[in-house]
Amino acid sequence: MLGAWVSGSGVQAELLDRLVAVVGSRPILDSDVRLASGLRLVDLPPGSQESETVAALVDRALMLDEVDRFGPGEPEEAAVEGRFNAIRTQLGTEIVTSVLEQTGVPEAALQGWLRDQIRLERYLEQRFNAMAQPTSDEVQTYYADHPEEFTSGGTRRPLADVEDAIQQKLAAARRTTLVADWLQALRRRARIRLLSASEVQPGPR
Amino acid sequence: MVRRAVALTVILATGHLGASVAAAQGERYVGARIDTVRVDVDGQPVTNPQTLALIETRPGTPLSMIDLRESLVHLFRLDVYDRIEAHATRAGDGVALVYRLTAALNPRRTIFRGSLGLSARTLRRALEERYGRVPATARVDEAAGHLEGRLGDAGFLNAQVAGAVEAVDGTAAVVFTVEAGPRARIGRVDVRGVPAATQSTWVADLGLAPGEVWDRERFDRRVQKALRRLEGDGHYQAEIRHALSPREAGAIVDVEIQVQPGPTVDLTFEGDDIPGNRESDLVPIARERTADEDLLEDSKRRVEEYLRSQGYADASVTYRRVEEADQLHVVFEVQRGRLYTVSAIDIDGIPEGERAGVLSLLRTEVGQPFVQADLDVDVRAVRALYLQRGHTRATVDATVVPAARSGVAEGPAAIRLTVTPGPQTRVGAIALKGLASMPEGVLRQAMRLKPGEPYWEPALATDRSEVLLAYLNRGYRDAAVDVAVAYTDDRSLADVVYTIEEGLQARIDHVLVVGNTRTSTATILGEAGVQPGSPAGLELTSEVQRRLSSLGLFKRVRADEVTQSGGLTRDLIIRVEEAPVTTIGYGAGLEGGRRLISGETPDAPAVERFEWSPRGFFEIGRRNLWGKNRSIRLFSRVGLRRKDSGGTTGDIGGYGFADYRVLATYLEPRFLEWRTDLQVVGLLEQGVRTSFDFRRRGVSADLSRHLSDTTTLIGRYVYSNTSRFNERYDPADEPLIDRLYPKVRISSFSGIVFRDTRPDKLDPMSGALLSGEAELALQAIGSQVGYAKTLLQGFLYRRVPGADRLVFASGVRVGLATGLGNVSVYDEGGNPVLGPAGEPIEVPVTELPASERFFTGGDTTVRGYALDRLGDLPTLDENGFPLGGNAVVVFNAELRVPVWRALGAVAFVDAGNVFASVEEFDFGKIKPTAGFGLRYKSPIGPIRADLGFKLAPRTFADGSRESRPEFYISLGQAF
Repeated sequence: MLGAWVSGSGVQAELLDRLVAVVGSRPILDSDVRLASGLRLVDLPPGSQESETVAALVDRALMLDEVDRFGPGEPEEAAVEGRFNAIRTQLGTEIVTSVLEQTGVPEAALQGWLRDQIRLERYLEQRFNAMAQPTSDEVQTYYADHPEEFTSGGTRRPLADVEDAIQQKLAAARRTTLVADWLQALRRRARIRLLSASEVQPGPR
Repeated sequence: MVRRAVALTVILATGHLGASVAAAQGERYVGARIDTVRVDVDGQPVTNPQTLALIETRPGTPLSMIDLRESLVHLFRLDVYDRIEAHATRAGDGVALVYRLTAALNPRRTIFRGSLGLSARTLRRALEERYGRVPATARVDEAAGHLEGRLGDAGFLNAQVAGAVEAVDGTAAVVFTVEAGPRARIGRVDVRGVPAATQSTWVADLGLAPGEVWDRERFDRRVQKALRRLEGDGHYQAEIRHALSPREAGAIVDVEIQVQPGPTVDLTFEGDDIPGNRESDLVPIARERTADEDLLEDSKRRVEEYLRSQGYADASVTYRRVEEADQLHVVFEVQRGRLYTVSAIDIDGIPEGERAGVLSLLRTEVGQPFVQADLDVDVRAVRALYLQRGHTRATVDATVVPAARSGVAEGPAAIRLTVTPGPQTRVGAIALKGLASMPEGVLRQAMRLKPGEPYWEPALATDRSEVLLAYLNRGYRDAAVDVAVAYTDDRSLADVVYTIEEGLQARIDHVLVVGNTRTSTATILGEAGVQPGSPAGLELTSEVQRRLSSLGLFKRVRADEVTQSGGLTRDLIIRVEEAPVTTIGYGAGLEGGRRLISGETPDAPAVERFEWSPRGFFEIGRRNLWGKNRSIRLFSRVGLRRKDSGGTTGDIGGYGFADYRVLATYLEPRFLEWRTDLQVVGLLEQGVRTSFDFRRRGVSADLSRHLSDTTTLIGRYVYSNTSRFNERYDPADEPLIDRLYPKVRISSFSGIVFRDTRPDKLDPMSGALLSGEAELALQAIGSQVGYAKTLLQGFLYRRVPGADRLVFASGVRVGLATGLGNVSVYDEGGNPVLGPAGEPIEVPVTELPASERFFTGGDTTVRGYALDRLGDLPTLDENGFPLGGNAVVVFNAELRVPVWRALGAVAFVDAGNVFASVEEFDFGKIKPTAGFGLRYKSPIGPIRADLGFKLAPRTFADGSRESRPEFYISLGQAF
């Protein structure tokens, strides 16, 4: 909840921003959480709680530490600009500007976020894509085990027609598992502090 | 929490209402005028200006969320707060801001609680080995796991340890709560892989008696011992494994041991011997405890390489493994072949004058065993020499011609090196494109290659790195440097073009200092030499750490850069851990030596007697006075000596004469913020010499200002007063004694400026040292004798063009002095001589005190003369003893030549003289010398031996002639 305290004059103070988590040496502020949810920067289903957004940001910070140590170099400016334009197109320039103003995040910082995001995605691709590829046996097994998925109007589509789709589906699922296992290992090793807002108490007189 | 969660759910469901919540807050506060800003830590207001300076939101300005966020990040970077929150209260049109912080717990000790199992001391030692006295907060859980492992090794198989940082008795501590559980004792023991009859022996040897406490460390030691025993029997591949089966809640542990002795391995060599008894080193089966194929293959190669390094160029080695039931026989068959000795080395393709230089590079030598690997290295070295000289297409071919004499075990090998230098390429023009912010001169100075010099590709690569580094160190972190080379058709010239993309410059925004309690932040920032706005250079953090560490005030210094949002500005966080400010030292001892003492009666001659004298010292130092890196140190030493018998027969005498030295030093860097260092030294001393005792008082004050990295200006005041007593020396020795212990009070001011551009001060091969000193002693400021004195010195060091390894060193020194004012005249009784009116007679000062006069001659001035023995006749007494003079000139010229590896040679010409007065200065009376010497570059500096010859030796009135040569051995170059 928004932390509040009552000043000597009885006026309620409001919490504008605070430190919500620390991942290693990276701080996560409440304004980061609002930015991420306001501009849909983290991949969460609608209706997600604030705590889930924080958890997503914590995971992102853990992964970025690994990317900084081992990962690819800076992406091209055109790629970063493309992402920025996509957000503006999706949400509208006014809303993007408003969110940036209210959270205190400069546009350059948002571009930095998008730059890091591209690096992260490329790192995950390099690290896990090859490992996630299913073998042809696995594809065939899946095809055999899920006939209903490839049957429409009583006709089952041949394997050759659906092989690519099966491959992508299996690869995506396996990659999700690999990334999740990797994240779990990162969480075990890292120092993560989650901070709740301070309790309500009378302000100084 | 519920209210907020509901609000957020609504926001995210609609897709852009999330922005609206933030927008609602923004609408209320963003842009409103900030009336007050307060910072509270644990409810208490903060007044520390450094902390307040981190707050970007200022009263009187509109509230900006960007500034607010920056403030929170800055406070976080201090790493001393757990909670950081910004609250706002609307009051009319304005906003009152409060930053509420909770101090982080910073533990200073470790506490163990619970049932420890082992002693707290043992646990503490186990902790300190890996984590230090107090583990970092981030590693507390890891440290707890480590303690669990340690307890498990000691038999507490179910131990559980939890670590946490807590406030205990008002201070933070790391608290480990230990539940050791029961300590396992050995239950059943089963040893497999050995004969049944030996089971009990094995159990005893491994220390596994049932009922004993299970101790993993002790067990591991016993296992190693058993393995060594098996290896001694030839079982090099023996293994001993174990498995534990705890029962009864960890109170009992059954142990199963699996012993695999492996086969016995024996190693034999057939064929030729291997010189030097190196078999076990070259085939390390016993040491590596394996005889697998990889090791044997490596050993085969090792033996062959070793034999070839001994000159057996055709050596060949094979091996075979023969496995029997429980045995493995490894047999190495060695064929050494003929031993080749280098009979001759010819070098073709280069002028005769260059051959000596090429030969000096070679490892291969006539008369030594021929080693192909050394010859390969030699070929590369010779080629590299010519490449370095600009012969970009140089090739070197080596031909070995062994003498064909069949049936002979040894044979000569003649080596021919054919060098094809090819055309020499020199650097043409060097162009720099893309410069915008960097002065071109700075970049050109960083380059090694210059137009007209031989072109060498590695030097070009180095230059490119230097150019890039120049940008990186000025904050241009994204700078890129490309270099292109265009040759002329005949490859005589290479034009170089550097294309530079500078990028944007990163700068320091805030500099935060954390951890200092006694040292003021201003002092730390001043010494660090960095401030907001400074370029965020690549070496900034290491340079800051180096500067602060060199102060000697801190046990630990760490500087970290933190990139701000946007990336172009960075904060610099400096964390320090202060060292103890007070140091105390003391000691005592006994000195023994022979001393000349008076005889028992006034007429009796002085005698030498061996004496013991107890002595002791005490010193105390205090650093960081008043938080500003000032320091003061007091050193005192006292020794007691027996009193002389004083002429009274039968007087035994006792310990009474104190031989003491008291030295006080005060040092203040950045004196009065003038960027000038102040040092004041006071001295009280009383001592004993062979033929006299002395007492000395003195004080000196130095103000040093570093005008640049190479130029320093020093202002100095010196007061010293020495007196001698209990004198018992021959009057003929007085001039020498006077030089070191002058019976005169001197008070003088000096000004010194020096510029030193020598990269290596111990053995300079380039650069220059220039210095000028002027001293003024006046009776008006307390000096017994007034004088003015100046000394100018210049030394130059240059590599000889076209012969990089030769160094020409030269120097000139000129000193002039004159007396000032008058002094009284004294008779033989020490009484002032009076004039007709009864006034003391005074005469102008013409001679300086002996300690202030100029002397020359010796191994660092004019070689060919003994120490201080060179001087114009008026500066020598009737015995040729030097008295010193008021003017001196010295010239030096020396050619330094490398001979072979660390050995070098020099040829020199020196000249100079000392004159009684400035008026008598005469260039026509300069005495020349010449000579030669050897230099050896030892790890502690060059050791030199010089032989100098007088080119114009004097003939004395009695017809004798000065001896010609003088020989010197010393450390360091002559100048």
